[in-house]
Amino acid sequence: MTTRNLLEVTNLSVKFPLLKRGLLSKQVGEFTAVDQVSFEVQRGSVLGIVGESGSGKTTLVRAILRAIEPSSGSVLFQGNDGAVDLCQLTHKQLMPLRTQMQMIFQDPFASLNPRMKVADIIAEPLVIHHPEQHLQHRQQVIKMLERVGLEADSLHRFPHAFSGGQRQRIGIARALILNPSLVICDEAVSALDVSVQAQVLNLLADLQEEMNLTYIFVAHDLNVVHHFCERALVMYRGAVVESGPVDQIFTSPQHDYTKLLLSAIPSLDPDIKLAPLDRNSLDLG
Amino acid sequence: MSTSTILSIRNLSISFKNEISEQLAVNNINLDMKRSQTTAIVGESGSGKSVTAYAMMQLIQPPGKITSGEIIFSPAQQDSFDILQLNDNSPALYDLRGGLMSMIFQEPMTALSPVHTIGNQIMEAILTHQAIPKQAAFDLAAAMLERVGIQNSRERMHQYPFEFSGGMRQRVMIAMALVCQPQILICDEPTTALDVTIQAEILALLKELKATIDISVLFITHDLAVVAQIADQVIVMNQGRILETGSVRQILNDPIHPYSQGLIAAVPGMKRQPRLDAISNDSTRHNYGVHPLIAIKGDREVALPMPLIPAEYQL
Ligand SMILES: Nc1ncnc2c1ncn2[C@@H]1O[C@H](COP(=O)(O)OP(=O)(O)OP(=O)(O)O)[C@@H](O)[C@H]1O
Ligand SMILES: Nc1ncnc2c1ncn2[C@@H]1O[C@H](COP(=O)(O)OP(=O)(O)OP(=O)(O)O)[C@@H](O)[C@H]1O
Ligand SMILES: [Mg+2]
Ligand SMILES: [Mg+2]
Repeated sequence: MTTRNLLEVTNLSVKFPLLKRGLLSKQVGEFTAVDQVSFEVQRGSVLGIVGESGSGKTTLVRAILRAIEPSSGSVLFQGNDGAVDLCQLTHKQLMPLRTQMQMIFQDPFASLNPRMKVADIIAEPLVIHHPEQHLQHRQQVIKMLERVGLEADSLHRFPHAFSGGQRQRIGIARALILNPSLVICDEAVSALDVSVQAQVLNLLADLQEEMNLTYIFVAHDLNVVHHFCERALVMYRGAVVESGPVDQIFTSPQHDYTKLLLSAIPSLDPDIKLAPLDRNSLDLG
Repeated sequence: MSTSTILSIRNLSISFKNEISEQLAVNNINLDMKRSQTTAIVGESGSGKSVTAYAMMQLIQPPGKITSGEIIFSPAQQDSFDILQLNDNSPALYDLRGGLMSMIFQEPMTALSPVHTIGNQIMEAILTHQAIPKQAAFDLAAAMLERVGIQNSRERMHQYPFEFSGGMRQRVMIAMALVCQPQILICDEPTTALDVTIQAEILALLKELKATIDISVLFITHDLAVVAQIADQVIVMNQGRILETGSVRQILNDPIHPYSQGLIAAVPGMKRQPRLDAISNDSTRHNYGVHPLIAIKGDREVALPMPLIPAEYQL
C-alpha cells in the first residue's frame, strides 16, 4: 500500500444470513448488505459516504473496524507500526490498533451507558488504554468537554439529563480523547441543530488540521457532505454506484440514484417547492 | 381565545432538578397552534422543543416537573379543557394520548417493539381506543398501511420491524399515529434519521394526508429546509424561551431576531465555504436572553431587549 493512503479497502463484502421463522430457525439464504466495495482514503483527507437508508453505509464502516465480520475482501490500514490487513488479524491483535481508529455513532441514545456519569464515559477509553496516566485524565476530560461545547457542570450528570444533541457531543468527546488517526463518523451530526452542527463541523475541521486526522464521514445530509468532504462515495443497495471529488458529484452526477438524491434536497426558500425526480422513471439498476 | 386556535400554551414552565442544580428547560412560554395548520418549532438542541411536546400529552417524567402554566386544548365539537388539569389515571387523559393527540418520534426503530409484528402493534393502537372486533381492527390497520404507501399490506402486517427499511418504519409510525383519527399530530424530528429521497417521500405523504384529513400538526425539527417545505407557522426556541414567532416566509426570508438570523446563516449551503457561521453560545445567552420584552407587529412576535426592538414593533 502507498504510504500516502491511510486506508485501502478492496472488494469488501458483508453478508447476513436470512433465517426462516419458526421454532428452530433455519438458514434459507443470505442477504448481501455490502457488495464488493473498494476505495482508498488519503491520510489527512475527508471521505464522505452518502446513500439511501438501508444501503449498507453503517454495515460498511462497522465491517472496516471489524465490529461486524466481513465475508470477503481486505482492509489495509497504515498503522503507527506499518501497514496491516485488518481482516487478517485476530481480535487480540486488533486491540492495540483500536486506539488509532475511533467511531462516532449514529444514535446518541443507544451508545451512552445510562448508568455512567459523563466524566466517566469520556474518560473510559483513557482508563482502558492509558491507565498509567490516570492523574492527567480529569484535566483531559475537562478540556475535551469544553472543546465540544458542554459546560463543566455536565461532568457529574448522567446521559439522560441531556438532550439528543448534547448527548451526541458527549459521544464525540469520548471518541476524540485518545487522539486517533482515523475517525469514522456515522451520522454524527444528523441529530444536531444547525448552529451546533456548524460548531461541531468547525471543531472537527480544526482538530483535523491540528492532529492530521483522517475522517470517513457517513451522512445523509448532502449539504453537510458537500461542505465537509473532499471526496465522496454514493451507495445504493450495498454497492458503490458513484465516487469522486465532491464538487464533481454535485455538478455532474452520473448515476441515476445520485441524480435522484440531489433532486430531493429541500430548499430553504418556502416558495421553491420540493420536486424530486420520479423514482419509477429512473434506471436505478 | 379565537376559534381558529386548537391549542394554546400559557405561561408554561418545566424544570428538571438534580442533586446539584435546577434547570428551567421551558421558561414561561406562550404559544398558539392554529387549527388545520402546521406549526413548526425550531431551535438548538436542548432548547426545550421535545419537552414542550411531551407536556402537551402529560408525558413529563420525574425529575421533570411542570411548575406553572396551562395547555388549553379545543378539539372540534368538544369543550376546551386544560390538559395539565387532567389526573394521571383519568379517562380523559387516556382518550387524549393516542386518541385526540398522537406523536411520532425521531427514531422509529426504538419506538416500535422489535418482538411484535407490525400488524399487532397497529391493531393494539386501534383496540386501545376503539371497541371493535379484532378482524375489523386488522382490516383498518391494513387499510391504513396502504394509505401511507405500504403495498401488500396484508402480508406486511405479519412482518417484524427489522424487515422494514427506515423509511418504511417511519410510514408505519405515521399509520399508527393516524389510526385513531387524532386532531393533533406531533412529529418530533420524523425525518432526521432518513436520507433526503425518503425524507421527500415522507414530507409529501404528510402534505397529502393534511390535504385530505383535517388535522393540526406540530412539527419539531432542526432542519430549516424541512421547515420551509412543511410549515405554515414557525416558532423559534432557544434555552427554554420562545424568541420569535411568525409565518414561514416571515421567519425564513426576513428573520428579526439575531438568533434566528444566525440559525439561517449556519445552514451549510450548496456552495463550499471554508467555515460555517456557528452561533456563539455566549452571544445568545447573554445578549438576548436576560430581560427580553415581547414586541408585536401584526401576527409576528419577537422577544428582544429594549434597544434591539425594531421601531415598527409595539410592546
Ligand atoms: N444484523 C443484521 N441482520 C440482517 N440484516 C441486517 C443486519 N444489520 C443490517 N441489516 C440490513 O442490512 C442493510 C444495510 O443496513 P445499514 O444499517 O448498513 O444501512 P445504512 O445505509 O446505514 O442505513 P441508514 O441510512 O438507515 O442508517 C439493511 O437492509 C438492513 O436491514
Ligand atoms: N430526563 C431529564 N432529566 C434532566 N434534564 C432533562 C431531561 N430531559 C430533558 N432535560 C433537559 O431539558 C432541556 C430541554 O430538552 P429537550 O429534550 O426538550 O431539548 P430539544 O430542544 O428537544 O433538543 P434536541 O434538538 O437535542 O432534541 C435540556 O437542556 C435537557 O438537558
Ligand atoms: Mg446507518
Ligand atoms: Mg428533542
